[in-house]
Amino acid sequence: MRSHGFIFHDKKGGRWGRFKFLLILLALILILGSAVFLDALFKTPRIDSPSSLDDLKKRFGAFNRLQLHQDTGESRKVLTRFLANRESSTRHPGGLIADAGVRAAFFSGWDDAAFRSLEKNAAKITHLCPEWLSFVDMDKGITELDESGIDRVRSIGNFKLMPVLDNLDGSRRVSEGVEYLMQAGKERQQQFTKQLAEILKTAGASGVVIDWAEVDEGDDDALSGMIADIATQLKAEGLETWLCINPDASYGTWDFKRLQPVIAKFIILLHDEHGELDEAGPIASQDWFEGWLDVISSSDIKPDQWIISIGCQGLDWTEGTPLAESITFADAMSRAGNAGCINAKNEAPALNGTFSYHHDGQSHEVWFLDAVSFANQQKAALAYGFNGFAINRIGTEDPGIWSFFNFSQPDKINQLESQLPGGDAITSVGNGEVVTYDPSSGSGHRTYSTSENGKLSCVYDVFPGFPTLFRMGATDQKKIALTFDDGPDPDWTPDVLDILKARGVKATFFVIGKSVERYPWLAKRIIDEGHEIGNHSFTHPNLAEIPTSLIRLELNATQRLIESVTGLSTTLFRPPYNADSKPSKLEELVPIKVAQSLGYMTILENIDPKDWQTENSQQIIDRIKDTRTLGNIVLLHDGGGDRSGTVEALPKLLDYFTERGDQLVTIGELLGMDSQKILPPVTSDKKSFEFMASGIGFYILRIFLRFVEIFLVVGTVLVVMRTVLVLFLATRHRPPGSPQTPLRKISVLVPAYNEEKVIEKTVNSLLASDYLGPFEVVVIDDGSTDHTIDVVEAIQDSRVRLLKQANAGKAHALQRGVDHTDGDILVFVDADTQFQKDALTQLANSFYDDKTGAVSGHARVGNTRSFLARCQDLEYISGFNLDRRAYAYWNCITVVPGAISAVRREAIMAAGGFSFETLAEDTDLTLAIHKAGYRIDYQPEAIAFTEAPETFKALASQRFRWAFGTLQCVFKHSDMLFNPKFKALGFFSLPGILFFQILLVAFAPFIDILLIQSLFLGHGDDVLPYFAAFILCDLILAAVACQMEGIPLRTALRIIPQRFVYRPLLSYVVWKSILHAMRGAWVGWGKLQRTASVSVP
Amino acid sequence: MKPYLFLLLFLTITPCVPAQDIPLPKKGVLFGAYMDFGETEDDVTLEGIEKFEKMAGKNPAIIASSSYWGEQTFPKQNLELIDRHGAIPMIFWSPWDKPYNQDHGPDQFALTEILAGKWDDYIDRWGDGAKAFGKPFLVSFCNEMNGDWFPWSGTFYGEKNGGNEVFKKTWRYVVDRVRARGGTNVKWVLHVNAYPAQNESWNLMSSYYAGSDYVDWFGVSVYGKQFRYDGKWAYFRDLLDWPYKELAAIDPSKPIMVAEYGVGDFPKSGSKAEWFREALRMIPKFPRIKAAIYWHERWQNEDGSYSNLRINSSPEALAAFRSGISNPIWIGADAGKNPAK
Repeated sequence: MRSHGFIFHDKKGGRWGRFKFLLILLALILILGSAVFLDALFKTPRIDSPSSLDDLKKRFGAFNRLQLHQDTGESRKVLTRFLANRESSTRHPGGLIADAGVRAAFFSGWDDAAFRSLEKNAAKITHLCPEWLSFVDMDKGITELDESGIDRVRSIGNFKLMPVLDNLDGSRRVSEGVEYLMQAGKERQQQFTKQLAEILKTAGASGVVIDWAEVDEGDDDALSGMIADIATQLKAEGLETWLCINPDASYGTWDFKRLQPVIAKFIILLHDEHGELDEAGPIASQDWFEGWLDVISSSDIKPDQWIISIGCQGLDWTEGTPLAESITFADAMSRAGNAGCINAKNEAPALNGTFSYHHDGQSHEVWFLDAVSFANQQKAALAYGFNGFAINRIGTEDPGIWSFFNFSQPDKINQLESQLPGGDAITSVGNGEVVTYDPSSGSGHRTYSTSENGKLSCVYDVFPGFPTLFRMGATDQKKIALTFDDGPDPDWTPDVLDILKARGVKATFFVIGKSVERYPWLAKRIIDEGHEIGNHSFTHPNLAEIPTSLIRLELNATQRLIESVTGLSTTLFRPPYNADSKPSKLEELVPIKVAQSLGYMTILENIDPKDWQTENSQQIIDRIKDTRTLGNIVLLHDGGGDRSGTVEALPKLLDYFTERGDQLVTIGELLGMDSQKILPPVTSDKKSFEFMASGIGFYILRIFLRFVEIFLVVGTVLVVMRTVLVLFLATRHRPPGSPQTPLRKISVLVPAYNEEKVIEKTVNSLLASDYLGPFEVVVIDDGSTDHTIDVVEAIQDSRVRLLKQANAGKAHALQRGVDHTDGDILVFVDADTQFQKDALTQLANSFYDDKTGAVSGHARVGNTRSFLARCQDLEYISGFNLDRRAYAYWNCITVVPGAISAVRREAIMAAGGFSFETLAEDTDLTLAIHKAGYRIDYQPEAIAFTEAPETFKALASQRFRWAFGTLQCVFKHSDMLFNPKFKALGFFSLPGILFFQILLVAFAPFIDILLIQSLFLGHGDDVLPYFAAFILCDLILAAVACQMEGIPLRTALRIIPQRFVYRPLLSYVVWKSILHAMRGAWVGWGKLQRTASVSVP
Repeated sequence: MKPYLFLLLFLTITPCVPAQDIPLPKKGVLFGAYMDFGETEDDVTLEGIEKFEKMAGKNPAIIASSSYWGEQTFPKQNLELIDRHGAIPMIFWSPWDKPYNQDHGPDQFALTEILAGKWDDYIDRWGDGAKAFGKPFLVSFCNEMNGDWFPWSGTFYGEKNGGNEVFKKTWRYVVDRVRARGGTNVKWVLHVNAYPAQNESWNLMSSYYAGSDYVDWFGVSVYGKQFRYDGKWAYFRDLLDWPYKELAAIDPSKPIMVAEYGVGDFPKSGSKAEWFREALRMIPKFPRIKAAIYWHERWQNEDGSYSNLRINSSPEALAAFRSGISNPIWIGADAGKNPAK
């Protein structure tokens, strides 16, 4: 009797209690810590916004002076000339109104307000004219606008589709495309028309609206001629052509006679009396409007062929700025309301709305068109006999027009609503890409009056309010702020910083919290090198799609992190995905609103080279050059993917800006704000409990993530190294022994416990052995409760012997066998294992060398019917046998398995026999034989088929015994670990057990979870390579093993599903073993449980 | 650029010129251009320059733009931009008030007002700006004064009793003031129209010459047909001979430039491509012509028609211009080398 205890036995029984206490304490600390940490993140850090809404509103004021517009405009001169030239006799009589007039609407798909209005008013429209097609370049042909909304509008109403074909490149008219086409000849023009017809038909359009402005008529009315030809060709295809006519000098160049038969409708655009480039003045004053009605009445075109396009927009002229800003009716109301104007009117003589105000020290003059001007103009046109109208453009209009737009009787247009609804539009005030949002809205009121000549006019008593974006930052065209989103990233941010540093340029970095957590030193470097840092959320979600509380969490967490890493807070925020400076959907404004309530300014941008789409640096540069004049803020990226294009483009971009004369600034400099205001230092009075808690929390999280990362890397490297080593060693191993080995007596020991079903087969397979020497088969019955004894006794063979004992466990049974036999070689066989005929011979021959103390046979799975068993088959082939070849080569086999193994009697005696301290008596014995100085080898030719568990439960219980036993053995023989005396065993196979079979297996499911989570979050790249390396190593090992075994290679593929089934199970048993080791008691044991209290007789 | 072109460039530029001078090529003509990509004549943008260069296939050695007195500014940013880009700036400096239309006579910047000292402050500031810029640049002050369309034309200052005298006086007055402020880097271009509005002695080119000390270059505007409803096609070969002889005779020491040239695109009247071929072939044959500024602009006329002087008004015209200007006799600012640096 060697020991009453067993490895991990806790004699006093207090360990579990202490362990449990520690565990609970740890869990409590963890939960409490997490709670404090999360709470800190939800609490908003106190930052003072450098530009509050109140401040912004204070910059506004009204000029309540009367507008005396003196009309000396170019447009008026042109009209006077045409009026003088017209032949009054040709004027068509008015009042003949056909009821079914065209009611068209020009439409811009990039404007969400256009969709909102269309959805409400679709029934009042007969034709929709979306901005869609452009022709500016002969080589490029007809191009389609990206955001035309052409696919969305169709389902909204029953109107006909008449897309606009213009000659716009952005906002600039390009004459070359059309003029080249004019010169290119008939054939080329027909090709063009064919392409146009195809596009229109595919879109289900009824025709096209040609809007080619600033094109020369050319010699012999070439333009009119070409358009007439196009219209003729389209007509043959069943498509209508409408032609836009501008009320300017070009009016006189059209050859109406030639166009009249083929153009279905002529659209006169009566809303540019004063355009963006002109001095301030009415957009379409009533007498100018009627003057043009006069002019077109005397043309060769009959009234029913005209469509009168009535304007709805406004223009805001800033003093000292060459270009007026185009605004909507709602913008006009919002500006007047915010400025506190009291005398905004729409009255004679102009009968256009107007007011003036000052903002940020600059004075503004606004002219706008409303329902009153629309009503006066529509009435006048109806009186002239015109009954085709177009709204230019839908979404910008005073909603009041919809109460009469589809009327055809002038006298019906008189009563307008006094109440002006607010709210349903996003308006803007000021210029620039830095926005502050005012969500307040309210309805307004106006008072109408009618003059003697029947003209309506109105006074605005209360302006309707709309959600408003206050804009800042467009004070100087030459200033340009570079912003980098989605960093920091160790691959790109340092390069970007190096370039900026070398050029002395400061930029602004909108960082993702998650990345700051990972690479805090980069965030620190950004600040140290004088750049500004901004909040770009923690995980880069679309903030417009998540609840407000999560938006707060995203921003607060990132803020806390930036504070703890840099010691500065940030007041700059940029929403992920929606950085474009023209938000038109209300939901896009929610994140801005939330950010603002937390004290942030929202920094959008107008210059977006889409560098995240391309690695082509030239493309990035070209896109920036094309859009440079649109704003002051450039969006670039230093993270979120391969940014080599951006890094490559950056020096050239800086050259470009320098050559252009631009001044590169930070956001703070762009706004003229002190950096202390933009990035306020976290002073000691601001170092709140939350600040500390979140700082520590992030620190711990960082260390944890770092640990996981290191674990992954180290694990992968070791697995790969081990794989290579095992492959190398396994292929060098040669089966041991020699046929010349003397024939020694063999005692085959078969411990049996309730094995009545299999024991006879097992014994018979042994008896059938071709071993030429003497051998006996000794079955040791371990107190079976079934008929095992009867079955064995029934076998009529003198070589069979039966030993009996009361139930005491396998180790005791084996020891009993050893004690009661005299064979020189002891062969251990599990009762469910069938030996091949030559297995005994192979085992015996392996002891040719006297130093060989034990030999492991080659166990295979015999019952490969179920999937689970087939998995184990592969595991035996690749995991056990291949390893064993490799280990044998270096003499570091850790276990000769109970299923098939042979031991020299002297060796077992030297090792002290079986020990009963562990559940893995085979491993225990193997290590003891090593200690006794014997060599342990592997004989792949000695094959036995064993029975693998076929249910998860049985497998789990078997593996638990192995895992716990292995744990015990490693612990018991820990003196061998890294002991030079044991060479490969101490340095390779035993540490291998600890790392690969216990540690790695225990943590594997966490890595799986990490992988799945990162795949879901879309950055699987982080973990996938490690995972792939693991799988690949397994696959290679399995493939080589199959090859050696002569099994089809595809069997190796089974390793993949096996991983997902096995690993959680193995992990479970490892954890269970560790827990049991802690508890230190024989519990939950299965069939060997009862043996605990029984001692060997 | 091929290496021999560098060599050519190197050899053709006289090495021994004062630092504050624009080097004159011994052989060849500096390619210059005015570009209209902005909204106004004083709007110079890198985008506009690069777009033109791509179109022309050669970078101009001289880039021209305007500076109107109505703005009361010195075009510092334009000069610096052009200089950084590697070209020599040229400024049309015009005493003209808003709106810049060719339909009115002398305004508040009348030559007499200038002489009366009303704008001394502005001239001095302009001189300071020129000095601060530091590098030589060309200034065409009061261009085409022998015409009758600009408010500074001699015709507005008394024909028989010497409108040209007021002009010369003003010229000296302004040049002296600018130089007194240190603006000695300005190269003054006496820039006439090819044909005078009134062919009389007081309106001859020589009548506007303020003297060798006051003028560094002679310049002449040479235009082909500009308006659709306006006369016959003018062939380039007929346009330059007489004005060249006139200018050359005034002072043999001064280099001459075609300070503006261009033609509209009216295929029914004549071939713009042919006009380009002729102009670009013939200009370098005049030995004293050292620079020529193409007027690349398109505008709308009162009758709604367009005058399209742009080099790309049609594919054929563009091809002819590119081909003509590609001749190495036309010296560009290739490879970003400013010939003045």
